[in-house]
Amino acid sequence: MESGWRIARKDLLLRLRDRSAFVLGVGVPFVLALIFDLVFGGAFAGESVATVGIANTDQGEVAVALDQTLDVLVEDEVISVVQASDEDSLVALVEEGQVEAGIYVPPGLTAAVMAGETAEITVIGQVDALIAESLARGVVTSFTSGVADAQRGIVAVARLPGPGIDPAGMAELAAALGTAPPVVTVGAVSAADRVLDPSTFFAASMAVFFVFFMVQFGVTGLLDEEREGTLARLQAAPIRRSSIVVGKAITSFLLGVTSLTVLWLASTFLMGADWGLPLGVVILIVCVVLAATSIIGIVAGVTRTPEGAGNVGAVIAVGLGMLGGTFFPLGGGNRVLEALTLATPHAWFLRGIGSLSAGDGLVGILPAVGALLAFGVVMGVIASLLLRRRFA
Amino acid sequence: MRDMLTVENLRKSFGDLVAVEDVSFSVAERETYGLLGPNGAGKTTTISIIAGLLRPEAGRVVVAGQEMSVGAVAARAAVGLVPQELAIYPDLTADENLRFFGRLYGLGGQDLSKRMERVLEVVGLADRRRDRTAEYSGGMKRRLNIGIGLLHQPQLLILDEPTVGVDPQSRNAILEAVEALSSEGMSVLYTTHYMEEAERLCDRVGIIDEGRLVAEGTRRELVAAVGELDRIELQGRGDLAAITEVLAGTDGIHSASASDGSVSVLAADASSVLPGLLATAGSAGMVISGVTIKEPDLEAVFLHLTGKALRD
Repeated sequence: MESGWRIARKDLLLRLRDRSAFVLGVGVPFVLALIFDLVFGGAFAGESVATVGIANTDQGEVAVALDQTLDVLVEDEVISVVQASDEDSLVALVEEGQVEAGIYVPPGLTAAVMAGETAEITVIGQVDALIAESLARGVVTSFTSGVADAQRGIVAVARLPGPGIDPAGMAELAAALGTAPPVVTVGAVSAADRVLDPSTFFAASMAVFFVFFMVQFGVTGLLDEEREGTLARLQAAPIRRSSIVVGKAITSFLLGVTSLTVLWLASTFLMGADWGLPLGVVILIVCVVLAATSIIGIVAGVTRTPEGAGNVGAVIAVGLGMLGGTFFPLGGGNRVLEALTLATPHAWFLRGIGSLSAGDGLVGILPAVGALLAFGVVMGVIASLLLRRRFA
Repeated sequence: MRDMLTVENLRKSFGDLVAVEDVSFSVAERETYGLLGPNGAGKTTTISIIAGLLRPEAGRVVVAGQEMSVGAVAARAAVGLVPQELAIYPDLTADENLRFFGRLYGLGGQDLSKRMERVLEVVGLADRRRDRTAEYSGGMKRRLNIGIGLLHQPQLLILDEPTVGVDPQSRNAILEAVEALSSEGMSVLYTTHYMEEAERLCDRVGIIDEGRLVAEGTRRELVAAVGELDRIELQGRGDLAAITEVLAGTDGIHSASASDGSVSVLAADASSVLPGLLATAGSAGMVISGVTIKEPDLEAVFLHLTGKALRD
């Protein structure tokens, strides 16, 4: 074991010298997380995802309710809103790029709703701002869906037998329907499906994605030593041959833990990410690095050259990363994809971080820890057998 | 003297290729033994088994009284291996390379520092010890490669073609270092396909070809075994035909012949017959202007034994 530590110390010194490990394990994932967060999540406090223009030419109760809906989104820093006086001004704002999407509320909207007639709210989008347009369209669709519910209620009341309701009563009814609580609500999601805020998601996902590259500097270093001729010298030394493999595994583990820890701290302090309870994060980091080291250990055991190991390792890292939802969540009701996602350490790690971020504590990450340890042990045994057969 | 290395009936094949077949030899304490053979003869496979890097299919290796195997930790401590391939870390300095490998061999503290000083002095790298080895010339890397093998003062030093691809100056430095180590009493197993290195360094030589040890002994024993004779050429004036007849009948002379301005004489041991030969030639009226002695070399022995040149 002592020899293993000596080999690991030498490897870490070499990695420190060539800097490639730092670039790949810390620099690249941090920059990518920052970019993804800027593009998709709004990395900096006070900066919204999209700027939406609105030309509200109605001013009736329904139109005012839409304004209020937008105000809530502005307060939550999801969007920022620019007012336009009419449809032409709004179109001009969109075309000039001053807003990324526009919402046009035509005159007579409220009256049409009250009369149970068809009314139309227009969403104007920019060709290269699809996210902003989708966001605006989603807001309007959600709002009109609520209005349609209220409208159906009014129509139903108006058709009741009897003397009918006067216009003032109709307005009160509309207001009451508008503020009535929904019959069905969406409850708190389960721990397994916790949704991370963008900064945390991209930081954690890039960190776990690149840790599979980072650990390659350790175990696949056996192939480098073999090619460079230094493996023969290590094997000729009066040490147990297994300690050479152990040394490489220690190198992988320390590089992986360092990479994830630096990204955890950097994203917390520089991007405002919230990975949750520190002890839980440390446990998850240790477990996922064990799993990654074991999986890449198998790669080192079955490939013949450092280049081959690098290629196979990259395919595995990217494949598992995509399947594990490090770039975008997979599944979406597809049972096969959901099951496949759970066959990756990435998915379990992100679930664990999701649980911690939601405040579930250590108990909440037990499934993730169990799954990651299972990966580590099963793959580790296979890797150990392959590496011993090849190098020991 | 006891044997520092005993190799008995080694056999190793890779698929259908038999790399080593029934190889046996021994190296005594303080002896420098050369394994001489062309590329692909089985030299590297043999020393890989001796160093515990490869498992033989048959046979055994004993180093300093301990059985060597892939798992034999103690036996490996007695061996210093200098692989044919450079086995150093280019991003580490000479100091760092030596310190790392020294610690793997159980050295530490003052002992390690002293050994490093000594080794750097032997291989002539003391003034470049803090430079990264990536900046070294090929010869300097070779010398450090040897230095690492020497660091723990092994009882048996194995050098696998240490001068391949080295400039003449570094090559000479390496040969001088091996000579110095040998004179200090270290047992050395030296593989090469350079006949002149084997002749210069080795007390005994084993000739290996196609995985088999075809002959072994001192240079003179090998030459005698294959019947090769020393050639003495006397240049000078006189009745060369008559002188040749006289010389041919002298004790210890195998045959004699005359050619342009010289007489050529074949003898089993040139150095022992030379004084008498010169006296007889002078008595027969020859005015000698020059003497050339050409002993048969290992190249000739190898050619005789295998039917091919060493560098084929």
